[in-house]
Amino acid sequence: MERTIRLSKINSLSSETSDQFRRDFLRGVTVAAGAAVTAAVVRGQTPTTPPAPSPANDITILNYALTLELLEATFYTQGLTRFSSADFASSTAFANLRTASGVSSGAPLSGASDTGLVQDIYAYLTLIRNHEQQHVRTLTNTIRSLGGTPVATPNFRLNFTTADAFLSLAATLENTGVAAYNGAIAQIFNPALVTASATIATVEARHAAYLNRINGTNPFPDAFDAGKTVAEILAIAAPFLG
Amino acid sequence: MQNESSQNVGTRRIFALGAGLAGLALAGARTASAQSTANPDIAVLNYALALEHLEANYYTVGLARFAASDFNRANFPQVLGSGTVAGVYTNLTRIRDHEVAHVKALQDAVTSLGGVPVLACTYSFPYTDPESFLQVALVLEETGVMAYDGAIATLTAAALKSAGASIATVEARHAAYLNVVTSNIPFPRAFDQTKMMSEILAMIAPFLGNCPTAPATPATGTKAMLLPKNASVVTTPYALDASQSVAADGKALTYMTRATGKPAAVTNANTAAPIVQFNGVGTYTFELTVTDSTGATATDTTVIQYVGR
Repeated sequence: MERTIRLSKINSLSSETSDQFRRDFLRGVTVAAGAAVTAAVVRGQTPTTPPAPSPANDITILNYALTLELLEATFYTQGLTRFSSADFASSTAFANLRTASGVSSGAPLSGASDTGLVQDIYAYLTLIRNHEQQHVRTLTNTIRSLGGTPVATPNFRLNFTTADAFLSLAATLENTGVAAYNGAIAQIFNPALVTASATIATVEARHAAYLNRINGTNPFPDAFDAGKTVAEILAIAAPFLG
Repeated sequence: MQNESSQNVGTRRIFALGAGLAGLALAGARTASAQSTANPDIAVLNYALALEHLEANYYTVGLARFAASDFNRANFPQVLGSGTVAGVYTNLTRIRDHEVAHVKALQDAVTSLGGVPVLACTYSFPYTDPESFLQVALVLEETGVMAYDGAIATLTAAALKSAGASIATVEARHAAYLNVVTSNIPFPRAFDQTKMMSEILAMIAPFLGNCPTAPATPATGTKAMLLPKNASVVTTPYALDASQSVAADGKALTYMTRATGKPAAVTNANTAAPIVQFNGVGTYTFELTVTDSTGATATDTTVIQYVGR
């Protein structure tokens, strides 16, 4: 049901912002993909067959990756502007980390260690933001070098009001990023781009493991990180796409 | 002098493993049948399998050696809170299970392409306590990430690229976690580094003992096959599988399975589905002998690590 609602959001993109995003995204998508496939992707349907790997289709995939990296970079930039170390120190996730069950002493850490922990969290979130910005720059430059046009930054709709919501959404976005890269890598034509995508995918996976841990969930929930199709990823990302 | 000596040993080990992998790729090519050329992905998958064997053995042996309480006493940094310490053994167990699953998946992939899966070597690892165990684990996982990130583009089948990536990112998750518990930055770069096979083989050479050479794969003849190969298992009694054995004349085989190392009871020993009963945690070797209608025999062995529940 939730998935249906999300899909319907893609169907009803209507604001100027959404139209702009759709145009930008389509510009990348239509470089190579057939119109039928493109329309299916935008409607949130799984294309019956993915487009065959080709140099032109590589630009489509790079713009898809760029869209996700722009979403991540924007998300961390907003969150780290909105929240301070003190906000993370008072978060439920942080309290759970300090007092996680299963330790014989069960005692929370000392005040000094708490300070160090929260500084680590803030510093690592900043490092993750920097990585996403580097991914954006690299993908943008790569698309240009291949003669393509990078998508413009969409006006993302990111509604989080607490540090906990921010940390939770961060984990969702990173795990989604892993699934997106792992799904897309099979469709990439240029071997150098395959390798480049793999080196980004494994960094997103590192972020995901860390954020899962911060949120109190399993850092590596499965032996294989299954890839997701473009349609599946867009369904997940739809609520953030303005 | 000592450095030169150990370097020579390392070089020999690289050649041993490299030759073994090359031989297996060739064996796979022959097995794949005469009508088609070798699938080049077999060699890449066997390279990944060799790394996963190494990792699976590392965690299986290490976690049998240490108890959860050893890690609770270990001098871990508290940077991620007290819950980190409590979770270390649990998470190492999860990592072990992942590596065992990777071994199985890669063996199946190699076999499905008509290749012969590379066998595990014997290994030696320089750890002495829980702290150094985590340090070496980190080295292995970071090596795995660089190996997969370098090898994925060399695969030809699109589906295998995604499959390779789905393992690479799990190795990266392991690496991030092990960095955290060893007081290192979990994601030190915006782009992970890659290394080629020759570089990776040089890195793992110090951990390798004896690596089996490529098994002979006669085109015809009665052949014994005892599965699973070199598995680590948690249940007893445990069912082995001799049903992949082949009779040269296509007629029925007779089977005999026995424990040749650490003693273990074998029931249904004269069937294609023997059941073994482990007698405590440890390493067991089982040998299958099949006899065809002409009286010709063939044997096969497998090493099973029983790690307990």
